[in-house]
Amino acid sequence: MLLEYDLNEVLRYLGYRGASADRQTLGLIGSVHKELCEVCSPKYIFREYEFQKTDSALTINGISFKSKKLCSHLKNSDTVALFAATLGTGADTLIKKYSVCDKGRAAVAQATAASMTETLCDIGCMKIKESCSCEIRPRFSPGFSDLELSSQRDFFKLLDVSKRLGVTLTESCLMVPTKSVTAFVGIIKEK
Amino acid sequence: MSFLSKFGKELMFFDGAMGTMLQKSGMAAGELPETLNLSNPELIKKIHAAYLNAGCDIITTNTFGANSLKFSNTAEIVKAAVSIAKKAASEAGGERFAALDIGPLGKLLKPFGDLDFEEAYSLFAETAKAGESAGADLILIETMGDLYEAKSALLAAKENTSLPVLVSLIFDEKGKLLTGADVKTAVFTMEALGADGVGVNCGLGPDSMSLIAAEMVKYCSVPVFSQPNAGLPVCVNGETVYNVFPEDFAQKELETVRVGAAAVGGCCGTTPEHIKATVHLCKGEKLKPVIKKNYTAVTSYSKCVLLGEKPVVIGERINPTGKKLMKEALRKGDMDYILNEGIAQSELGAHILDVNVGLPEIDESETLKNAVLGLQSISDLPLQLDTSDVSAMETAMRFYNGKPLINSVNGKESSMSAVFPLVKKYGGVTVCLTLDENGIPETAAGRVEIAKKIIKTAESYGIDKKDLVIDTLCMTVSTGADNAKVTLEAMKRIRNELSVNTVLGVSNVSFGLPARENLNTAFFTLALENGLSAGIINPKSQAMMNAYYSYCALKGFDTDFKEYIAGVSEIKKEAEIPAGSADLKTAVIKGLKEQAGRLTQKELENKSPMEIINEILIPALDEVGKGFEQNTVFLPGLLMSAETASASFEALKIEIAKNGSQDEKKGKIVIATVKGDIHDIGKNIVKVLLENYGFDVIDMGKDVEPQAIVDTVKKENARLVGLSALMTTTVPAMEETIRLLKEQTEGVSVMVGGAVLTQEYADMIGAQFYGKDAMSSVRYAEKFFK
Repeated sequence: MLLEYDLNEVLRYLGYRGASADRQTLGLIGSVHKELCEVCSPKYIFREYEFQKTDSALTINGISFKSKKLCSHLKNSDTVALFAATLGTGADTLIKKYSVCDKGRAAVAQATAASMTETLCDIGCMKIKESCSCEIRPRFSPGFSDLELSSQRDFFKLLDVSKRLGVTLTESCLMVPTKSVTAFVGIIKEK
Repeated sequence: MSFLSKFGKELMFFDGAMGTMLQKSGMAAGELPETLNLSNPELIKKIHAAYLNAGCDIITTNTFGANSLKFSNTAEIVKAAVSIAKKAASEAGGERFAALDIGPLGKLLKPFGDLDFEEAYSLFAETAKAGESAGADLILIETMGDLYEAKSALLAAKENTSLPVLVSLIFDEKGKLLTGADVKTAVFTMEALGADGVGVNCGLGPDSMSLIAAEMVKYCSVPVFSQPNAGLPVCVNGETVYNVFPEDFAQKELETVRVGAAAVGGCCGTTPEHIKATVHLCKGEKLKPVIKKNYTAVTSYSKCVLLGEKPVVIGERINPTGKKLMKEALRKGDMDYILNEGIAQSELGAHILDVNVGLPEIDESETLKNAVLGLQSISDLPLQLDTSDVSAMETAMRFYNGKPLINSVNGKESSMSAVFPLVKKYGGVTVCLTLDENGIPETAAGRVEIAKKIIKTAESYGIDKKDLVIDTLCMTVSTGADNAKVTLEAMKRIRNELSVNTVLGVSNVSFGLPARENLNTAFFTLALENGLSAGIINPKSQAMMNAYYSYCALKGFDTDFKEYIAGVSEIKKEAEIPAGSADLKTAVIKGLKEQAGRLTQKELENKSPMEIINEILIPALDEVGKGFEQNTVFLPGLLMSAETASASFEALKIEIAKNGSQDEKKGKIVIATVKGDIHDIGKNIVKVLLENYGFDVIDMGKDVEPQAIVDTVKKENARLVGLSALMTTTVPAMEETIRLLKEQTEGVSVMVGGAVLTQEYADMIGAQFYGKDAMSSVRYAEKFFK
């Protein structure tokens, strides 16, 4: 899977605020992207679930996620997919290496890998759409808005993320490899 | 009959999935299956019984996640699980074995994750001990996607029990582990650590897994086993389904047996029907004998280097001997210096890195360990652990991720009896110096004799000669005209007569003579022609690398001349940089790092180091910094300038050290990413800028305990601290650090920064300064120390 990046996003992560990049930087992004493609092993998983919800909590298989925003986000959804994706450990190692020997490259790698992760998520969510032949809602991730980051633990348990994807959680609920995403994706079946 | 007297001699069968069966019996997703050992032992026993009836020889206990990260009563759960399995096995009759199942901890070890190697080790040790005391017949470590975690589990099982230990790994479709190792790297590493069998399970269906098993058999000297899923999971109506049927599954298992697997079974999605069909089809199939392989292999966490056919380069630069700056870096605990040496050598073509950090005034164990861990977090090259301190060696071997080169033993009894037991335990390829109690023999025959003695002694420790490389030692030709000749002859004989690989520190040959590179390159080529498997050289010497590439091209090791041509174009690139195309100030502003060294040298012709710093570097950095503040320069540009300035500083440091004067530091700043946070790029950016502006920065890394920061501040007598946090969830750790600093120190200021921080937050947690970006912390520090 060759993951493209979105140049505007990469520049935004790098703090360009709409300014355009010079040739040197564009070349740098291109060459870092090439390196990232070589070391990444992008993967995603998802599973569709029935859910119950109130105004403030979403319940899947007896496990509750407290978030008003998530509940309203899923208000027209029939089911929900739990989705997780990662670029693998290769991106982290590359960024780490450059943060020692070439910090400009490290910053660019960080931004480019972040954008590639988004691309991977888009590809994965397209797949959800295809496989259920349904409409889907935008991704809603643990840690976003009023959904506590600590909900990651339950999310991981439900989808069996560690075993199936190789992504694990630190004590403080951060994901490693760091270029990883988890999200709830609302599914709207054709009526 | 014991397990090991059967395993690898006749075909054996594992059971299939436990989890799949539990889900079928109504266990909810998210429920911890291991609790059922206590709450519903009958159910577990029934599942074991079904597999035993299907004809399996080995059942695995329901303890995949039974560790103290998840349970407070691990021992109780493990003991219950083992006794259920034992009971089921004895009721089934015949010769059956209960394997204590150990799965991954679900947390990634450092450097990728936040779990310490030793912590992982103790978690596994606890489970293993409980399993043995409850009567398990063997230990099955399974579904390991990280070689390092597999190592910690294997060591824990080996050191704390006397049970046979099998290790099973999970590969993806590309044949790679999660942390990057391919099949042969994984196999070499696990068997070096003493695994009694190496296998593959989960992740793949029987088709792809059969290929992996075949690849394992090619490299593995211990029995191989395989436990595939019943196909790849597909999602049907929200349910996970595996859809390879028992008969098709069995057919693939038969193929796996025929390529040489000593045992087969099943993982996710398999049922007693799958195992029954497999046993039925494969029973009576003759086992391919397990053959000892002859590869001399060293590995890192993801890569393997084979010695013997094509010669390889061991980079010698990480060694403080004669290097003033490296000594200073080691004393300061500045690992970046070492890491940069590692990266540079790797980019110049080294295949293995020698790591020597021996200095009389430092704790070598701790420093070598940190160097090894640091290098392995940024480089995938295998390392050569180089120390004469046996306890430092053991520490380094314990923490090393892979199968290292061990530098070294010699023919002295005391040396061999100290080092070989370690090699036997942790695995490795040992560099053997041909000297003994009587010194270095003057003749080639004498050195060959010592080599023979070492090989024989190694064998008595259970170390095969494929895991030795002999160093026939080179003395400078300036003290004896025959010195080089003797070394080469001994090398040739050892390679041809003893069939053992060789290694040599090449550059000793020219000691005491002028224009040493000439002699070194000629000698290197001669050594390669006389059977040198691995040359310890300086990859930064273009001449030496040219000799290497040329030799490989001429001898057919580089058939399409790819490496040779790449080597040559390297040279061209250097030559193409037009001299005088930029001045140092322009180079810094434009971020032309490659030119920094040369342009700094040029400036040194007319200026003192301090003049260069004050008149060129600082004004250039200021100009870029202003551009950054005014949104005309952006982060990559800012950093590339900073790196260029750093490169120039490095060149100046050498000059300053030469003149014996101290470079003046403006003030000491301790910086860290706070506890719980593993994002350090922002902190690293701040660090390089602060250093550029002449501050003495003590970088404590990421995920740092509040008290550790306070202790360092006290020890270093630092007055300014920089803390970084990226996540809202780690801001409390920042607050805690500030609180402890206030309690335990006086007059210390704290500046904070990071994605989620704001001025408001900073005020709330009591920081003196909030830096919205890297430049603003530089400005603050300048004001602070004025």
